Amino acid sequence: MAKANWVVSKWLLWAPLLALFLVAAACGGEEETTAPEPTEPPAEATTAPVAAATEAPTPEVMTSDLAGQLDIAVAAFQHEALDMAFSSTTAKTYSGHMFDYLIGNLPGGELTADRGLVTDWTIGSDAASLMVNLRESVKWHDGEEFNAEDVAFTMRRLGAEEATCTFCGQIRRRVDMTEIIDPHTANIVLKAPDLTFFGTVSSRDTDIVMIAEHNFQENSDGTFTLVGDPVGTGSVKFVERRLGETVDYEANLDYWNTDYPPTWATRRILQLAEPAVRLNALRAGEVDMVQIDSDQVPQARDLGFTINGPKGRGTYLINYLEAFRPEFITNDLDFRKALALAIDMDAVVEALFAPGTYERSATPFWTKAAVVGYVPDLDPYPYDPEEAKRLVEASGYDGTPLMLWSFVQTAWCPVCPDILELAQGYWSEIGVNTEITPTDWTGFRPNLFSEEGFSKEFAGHVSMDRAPGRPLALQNLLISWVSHENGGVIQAYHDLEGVDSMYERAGLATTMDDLDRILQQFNRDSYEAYPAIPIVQIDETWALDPDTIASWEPGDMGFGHHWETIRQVR
Amino acid sequence: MPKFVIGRFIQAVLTLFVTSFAIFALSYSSGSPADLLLGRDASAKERAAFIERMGWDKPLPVQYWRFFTDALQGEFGVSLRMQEPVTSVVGARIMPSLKLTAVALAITVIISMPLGVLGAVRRGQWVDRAALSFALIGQAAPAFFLALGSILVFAVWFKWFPTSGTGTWMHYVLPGVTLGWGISAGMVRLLRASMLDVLDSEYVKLARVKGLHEGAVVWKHAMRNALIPVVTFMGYTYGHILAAAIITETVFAWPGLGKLTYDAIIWRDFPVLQLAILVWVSIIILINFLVDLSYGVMDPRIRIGE
Repeated sequence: MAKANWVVSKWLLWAPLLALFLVAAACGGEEETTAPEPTEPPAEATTAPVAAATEAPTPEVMTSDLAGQLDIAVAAFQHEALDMAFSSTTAKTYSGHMFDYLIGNLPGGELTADRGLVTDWTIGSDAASLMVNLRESVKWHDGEEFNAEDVAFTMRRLGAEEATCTFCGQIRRRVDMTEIIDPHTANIVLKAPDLTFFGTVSSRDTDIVMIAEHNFQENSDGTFTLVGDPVGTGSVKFVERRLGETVDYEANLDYWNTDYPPTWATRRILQLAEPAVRLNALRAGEVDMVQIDSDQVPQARDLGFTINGPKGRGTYLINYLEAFRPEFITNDLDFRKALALAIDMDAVVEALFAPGTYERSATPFWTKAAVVGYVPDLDPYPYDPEEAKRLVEASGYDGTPLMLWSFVQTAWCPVCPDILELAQGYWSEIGVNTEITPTDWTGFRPNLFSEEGFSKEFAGHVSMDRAPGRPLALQNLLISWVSHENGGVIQAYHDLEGVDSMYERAGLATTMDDLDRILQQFNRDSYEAYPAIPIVQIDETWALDPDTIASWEPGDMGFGHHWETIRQVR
Repeated sequence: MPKFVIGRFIQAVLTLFVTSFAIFALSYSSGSPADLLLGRDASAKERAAFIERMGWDKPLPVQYWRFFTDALQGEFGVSLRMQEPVTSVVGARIMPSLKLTAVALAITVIISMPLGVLGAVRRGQWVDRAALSFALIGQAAPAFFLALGSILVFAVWFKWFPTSGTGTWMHYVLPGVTLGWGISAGMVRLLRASMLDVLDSEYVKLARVKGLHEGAVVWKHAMRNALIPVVTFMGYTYGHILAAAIITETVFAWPGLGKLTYDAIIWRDFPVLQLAILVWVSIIILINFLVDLSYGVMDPRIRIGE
């Protein structure tokens, strides 16, 4: 080939220019999606970050001079539904915060009327009803009055067959009807006594928000359709959303709870799936607070961000699936105890969770004093591999592998596979063989209801579980341990008859003291039986920009985030 | 030409039909959306009742027939997760994806054409090696690594561009470069090889002997023929760009079809998944069709042959 004298030619010049033109054409005409203009220039930020307040803030006069946009980045919008019948507890960060609940909760987790739509509530003497007296000052975002008919409608709508919100099934199963006593008094009548039903309409324990009857249209087939934009009673009103991207709210200047008036003019929730991108967005100043993973906490702290978030949000445990079957070795106490003692759980949690974001658990579900049935003098199971080996031998284990079901329930338990793999390593040290099946929740769940049950070719079946922090405890027991016949799901208890009997007794309790007594006794008895391997109680971790966010009281346990308590640096 | 168009249209319809059934069957075999939509405390009876109400207990061919007849009428149902019409959910994501992939292709062209030509013209020299190395880095580095690295450097440290999202032309740069750089390697190598082949041909030698300016030899005579396999590659690559866009869209929170499809898979949102995949397939079919048509423009022999 002759040596070419390369010179700049029109093609070399024009090809990239043509490409740039295509780029400009593709990018042109975009609407700038900038934050809404503040009504007045934002005040200069104070210099020092302020630690989260431990007392309720001084009530502020509601003013239309609010300024600033609070930008919150979350990992996922989850259900991304504006009709709360199709939402979930995990989607409360998307739309739940524009609504209120009948019963509120204090930052420490205690249920209270002060932060709810009721002035007080009364459980019927037979625990088969819940009478609520409603606040008279509450209005929906469109100015209509909130009243008892909305409570009745909420029960009807969220209890409808089509409703799939997390606790809609509870409403459907438990609520018989709602009597309207007067415009501000409703009596929710239950199908059967349930002392803990009041938790089902609280901000701490559920996603059962109050929705407006006039916001829906009932169709001829009995379903409902949301009419127009959703309206709530919360401190922010819905403005608009871009599916998969953002959802925007503005301050409700007529918010009934003057103890927690809105302090930001607007609020935007963004979806940033990648954890590193969320933290980088915070670093770049594009957002004010972001959800972070536990392993990002040290980095976020080093970067000068405030770490905060709802405490005791979840508890991790290892379950023995169908341990009630005598053909599984997990039915044997010595073997269950061996598996528990074999794991250096302190080392495991230290490796996976940032300091200050977790507490070791002594029991699977009774993790804090706020939980009914909590026993303070129980300690986490110790690490004793020698004793574990002895117990494995004593159990008569023949070397047949245990099946470990490793699954991630969307964003619910990202470290569950890691914990199970670590457990596998510890168990192999004491001579227990295992096989891991990676799957996800939809692949795993049908096994729970199959007629044949789990395969008898294995010595037993084990899975990770993450239970939400539920102070009323019974729901966790129902899902994880109680039998199918009594409404349970996972059936991971070695004495199904015993746990069913306890659950029935608990259901008949007529006072909280009775319930506490029953659950405390069960807690003590089951602790000695090693029914599961409790691991850790974790907090939900968020990184906050201290230059824009002065304080936040996210609360203890349950599902709420209480964004209405976020205070702007002024 | 009409025969060609009709033939390709029939092929497209058959492809869409087979694809839709395959996606339908595969997605329904991956687990029921009931397990993600219902609360964890849903009993077996409640789960079964929900599945029956949604019609998911019917045999697969029956469900597919219902989907197929509805689809012919433009009815793709409602998103199981978002409770919004599938057509509007998917429709809103098409243009962002097309724009991003167009930008990525444009960046690919910007990178590849000069590098490929330079590599061929300066074969064996440092320019050639640098061009190939630059392209290779884009091909070897995983997309998420490029994406996260570019965000850290250009958005966080330098603050030149936003970290994520959409809104202005600046939002296109980082995701566009991430996508385009990865694709450009193959194009650089292909264009370089094609150019080397063409530059060695007899008609190019004749052009030089005739005294034509070297620029004209390279860009007017050689380039046009060298582009034929490159255009084919671009058409083929478009499918890869769309697939690679899933990662880029997820990292950059780009509201495109890729992220939507990923979410639909995770959530077993079958109605959305069906339409999203069909749209993807349609786009790829259309791109390949346009590529085939472009051959006639670039190569007169194909036009004469027709």
